[in-house]
Parts: sequence; structure tokens; C-alpha cells
Amino acid sequence: MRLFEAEAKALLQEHGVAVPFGVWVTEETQLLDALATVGRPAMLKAQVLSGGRHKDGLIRALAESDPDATAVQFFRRVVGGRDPCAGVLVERRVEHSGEMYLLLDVDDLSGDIRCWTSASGGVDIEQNAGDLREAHFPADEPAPRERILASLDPRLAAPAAAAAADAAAALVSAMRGCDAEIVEINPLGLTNGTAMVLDAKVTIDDNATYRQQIPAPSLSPRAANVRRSADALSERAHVAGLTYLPLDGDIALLSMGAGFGMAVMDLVAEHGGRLANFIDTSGGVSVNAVRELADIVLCRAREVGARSIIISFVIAASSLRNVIEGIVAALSDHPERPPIFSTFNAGAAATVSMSYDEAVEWLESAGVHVSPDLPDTVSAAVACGFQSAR
Amino acid sequence: MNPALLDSLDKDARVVIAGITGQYARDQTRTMVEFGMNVVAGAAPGRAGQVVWGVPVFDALAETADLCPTIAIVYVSAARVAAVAREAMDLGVKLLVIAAEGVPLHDTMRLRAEAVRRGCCIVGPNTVGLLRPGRCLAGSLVPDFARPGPVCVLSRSGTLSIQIVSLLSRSGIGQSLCVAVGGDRVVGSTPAEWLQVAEADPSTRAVVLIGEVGGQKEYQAAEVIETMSKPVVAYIAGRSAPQDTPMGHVGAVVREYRDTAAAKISALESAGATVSPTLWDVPGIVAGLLEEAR
Repeated sequence: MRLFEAEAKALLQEHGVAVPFGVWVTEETQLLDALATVGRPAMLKAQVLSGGRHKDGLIRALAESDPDATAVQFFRRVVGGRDPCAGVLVERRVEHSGEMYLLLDVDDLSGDIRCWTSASGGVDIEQNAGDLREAHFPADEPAPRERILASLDPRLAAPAAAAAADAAAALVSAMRGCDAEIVEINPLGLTNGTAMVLDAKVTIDDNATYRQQIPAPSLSPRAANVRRSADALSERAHVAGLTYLPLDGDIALLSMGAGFGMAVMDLVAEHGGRLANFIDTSGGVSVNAVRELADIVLCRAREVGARSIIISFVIAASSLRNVIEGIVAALSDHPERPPIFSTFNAGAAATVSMSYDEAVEWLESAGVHVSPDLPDTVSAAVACGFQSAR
Repeated sequence: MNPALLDSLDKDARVVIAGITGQYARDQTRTMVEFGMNVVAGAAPGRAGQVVWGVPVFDALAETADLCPTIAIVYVSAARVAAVAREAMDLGVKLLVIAAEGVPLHDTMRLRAEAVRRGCCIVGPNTVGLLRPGRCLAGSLVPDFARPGPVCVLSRSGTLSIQIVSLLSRSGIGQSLCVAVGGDRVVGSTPAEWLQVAEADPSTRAVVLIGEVGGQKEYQAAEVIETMSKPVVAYIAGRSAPQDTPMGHVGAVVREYRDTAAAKISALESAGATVSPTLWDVPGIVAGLLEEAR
């Protein structure tokens, strides 16, 4: 889960990282109180999940002399704009003499935390990517300050480097504590031997959100609106714990297993077709879970006027009966649908509840064309033009 | 990873199963027992005294220490994996299979670091495990789809490992070893580490490597392939995957060119692997390479 800047800073601060004092407001009525609490000069920062806020006018400095109306106008513009916005972070402006860039991520081979730093931060960091310096830290040991210091650009002045190393050590610790996948600090403000996180992009591991404290404004309707999926089927799939992606083709796919789904997608492309969706389950396969999965696929097929639907899966030990009953139940809710072609494979443990032949009978009775060979199934699905199966 | 690990992966291995009383684990236990594995104990809190397919159940893995287990298979929920996996490592097991999907990333990172230090090999998380047809089953791979033979199958995807084993067997090509390393971004052992095991394994004559878009694992594998004497056939799933979208597996996401199937295919071909356009073309290519090697 990608965090809003205000959420990220609150979490980092809890883990001992220095951030500017700020208040996150989601309603206009809270704005002037927040401004009075923070004081001036202040920064007004739209809470959106996209990057490039400086360039898009979503950050504004508020000087001593600026009237309150300036802040109100900014709030109305960003919150009432076309793109969803989860309010404004009102933050004390921090003067600093230098800036640097810092990124923490995970090495997918060793499982180490990688620390990337550049002595020049700012909005043009992508142009300076060649300056990035890399250091690795084992996942289960503290990041030694001396090693961080040694990994920094030697052009950094000693007090700034020391402050940056302290901040980086705290951020590595915070990354672990927050269950973060990525922590990107741009810039880290440096002044007189102190370092402060001026902007932060943090992505929390979705599998660990249950053990993280999410700040209250995150639960506001505005924040929920920003995070909500763009289309209804994606939102339904999200609620059901499914991975669902609408794609731009016209062959709907019901598959289970991420790798298998990708392989079917490739096979369809190899035959000259394009999928209308990708879908994957995680966890168990109850009849109701499969019915919901199948219903989403059938709705997608209707949405795009799919020429055909492919049902394909491989199961080791999940109940084949549950899968087939779920699919057939969903099919009965969609009498108007394009032709459906299926190939599936089930291990002995899966067929305890229903034999392969019985499953074929169930599907064929529901109007599904079953073949033992997936390339044949894909070929038929790609070749057929749209027509109602019934 | 020590290639000698394979020597301890057979039906004489002493297997313990954590979370054995859940329905999925019960079904897998039955398959492993019927396969002939020596499953000496299971564990589930509050279930001591129960018996699952002839396997005695204890409250915790720690209580099975006297049975000197060598393989632990963990079927507990994602949130409990870290604690239970450490308990298994404390038993001194050589192989630890973690089935759960959704294990917190930092838990896996810490477990991997710990396992490397302790000389324990982790397969998973998010895996269907490991199979040596006719010799060893540790997890949920489907033994009735497999047959003994000379091909080692390594895959990031569980469903694709099951499918490729089935396709190879139907083409008359048996397998020496099948490992689904796990679909998560960080896993306990990488395909590259298993390639080294396959290279040293006298019963393996060729390797099938099933990769995916996203991450660096295929590049690490390519470095090993360059040094191997045995032929490698590779397939990368997700050639048509859209940008910036995780494709079900947490690690399968294309963010930059290096993550794409095209970039990985190029690296694997440069390293000497034969790359198959689809999974379904793999058996034919393998058959040709085995024939050439005769």
C-alpha cells in the first residue's frame, strides 16, 4: 500500500526519524486551525499518490505575508480538482542549506535492504541517477553508521555526511519497523549537522498492514476515494481478495494461479488474440469464492462484448468439486454469453471430491467446450467470432 | 546452498508438518504418506494427541525434537510463519518448505538471512514445494503427474511447475527434481542456487527453468547457466504483461525494461539457454536437446 506523504512521515517519526511539524487536514473547516497551530512560513502539500507535485502545482509555500485566503484557495483547488485528493498537509517550512536523495528498497535475491544515496536531491533526481551510490545491509542486523558513512558521496561535507548517515540508519530501522517495501526520501534536507525528511514516499507491504498503525485521516472518505479502484469490477475483485486487471483485448479469462494465468495470456498472444482481463485467486477455493471469481470474469466478458471466454486452471489439492460448482453456478447467472472453451488439470487429491470426467460432464452440460489440450482451447477461443452461446 | 542437500531428500527423511490439522494440510499429508514419505509428526496448537493419516500430532514443533526431523513443511497462516519457521530451524532441519501465500516481506527477509547462517534451505514462501519423483515429496506438487527421469524443473510459479511436470510426463520425459521456489519477491532459495544443485546432481541431464517478469532472479540464473555443462530450457511467463501492474505474484511486475520478459529472454539466451516461446513448446525442445546429448 502506497502511503500519502503525511502517513509516511507520521510512521517514520514514530521510528525516530526527524520530520517537519505538520498537520494533515481533510476538510476545509480544519484548515485555518491547522495553519494557526503550525505557524508561518508554512508549506501546503496536496495529499495525492502520484509524483511530480511540484511540477503540477500541488505544493505551495505560504509566506508570513500571504493572507489566509491563499491557503483556502489552494485547498479548494487541489481537493476540488479533477483528480482525487486526500486533503492537504500543512507543514512548518524548514530552511536548509543542502539536499540529498535517499532510497531504501529490497534486494530480491539476497533479501538485504539496499540503500541508494545521491549527494544531489531534488525534482530532477532522475537525470542524476548515475550518481547513485549503493550499500547493502542484512535484513536482521542493524545498519552500522560507519558503513553508511563510507557509502556516501565523499563530496558531502563532514557534518552533512554525519547527519545523513544518522538519518539513513534511522530510516533503515524505520523501514523494518514499518514493514516498508520502499522508502524514498527526496529531499533529505541538510543544515548545520542536522538532517530532516522533507518529502517521503513509502510503500507498506500489503501483507503486513495488519500490524501497522494507520493514522486516522487515512480512514477519511477522501483518502478512501483516492485509494479506491477506478472501475467497479476492480473494486469488487479487491474486496474479494482477487487480483484482477482489466486488459484491452476481447477474450475473457478465468484462471487460477498467477504463473499459469500469465502463461495462458502469452499463449493467447502467440495465437494472435488478446485478453480482456487477468485474474488470480489467493487462498482457498470455496464454492462461493470461485463463483465470485467466475462472475467477475463473466461481467467483464459482457462489459467488453468478448468474442469468447477461456476457463483454464491447474489444481493440486484444492477441491475440484468446489471449483466446478462455483463456475457452473456463475454460468447459470449469465445465460447470455459468448462461447466458452476450457482445459483444466487436477491432481489425484483434487479429484477425490469429483472425478475429472464428472467435472467435464458438468461443464459441458453448462455449455462449455472442454478439450484436454490448452493450445487447442486457445486456438478455438481466438478463432471464434462473437455469438451468444444460447 | 550445499548440493549434498539432495542426498538427504528421500523417503527416509524424517518429515514434520506444522499446521497439520487444517484441511489443505490434511490433504497434503495424505498425499505425502501415500507417496511413502516418513512423516514422523505434525504440530498444531491445542491439537496434541490427534492423529492425521496415521501421523501423531503435537502442540508445537519444538515437542518433536526427539524425533530428529530433517524436513519441516509449514502449512500455518502467513502471520504465524516467522515464529513457526524459526521453531523448525531450531530442530536442525535441512529443508524447510513454507507454503503460505501472503507472508510479510520483512519476515521472509529475516528468515532467509537466518537460514543461510544456520545452513538450512528454505523453499518458499508461496510454494507448492519440492518433488523428486519416486524418491521424495515435500509439499503439494502432484506426484501422479510426475515420473522419474533426467530433467530438473525449477519454477517461480506453483501452478506452472505442476503444469510443466504434467506436460513433460505426457511427452515421455521424466524428472529428476522439481522445485517451485515460490512466487514471492524474496524467497528462501533462488533458481540460481538450485541450478548449481542440478549441475552437481548425477541424475539430472537437463534443466527446465520457468521464470516470470519482474525482479532479478533470471539474471542471477543466467550467470550460473553460463558456467553449466547441462542444457537449460527456459520459459519466461508474462511476455505480454502490462507495465507497472503486479501479475498476481508480488514479485511479477514490470517497472522497467530489465523487468520485461524480452530483457530476460535476451540475457538467458546470451548465457546459453534455449528459450521456449510458450510453456507448451518446452517438452519438444527438451526432447530434442536430450536426443542431441545422447
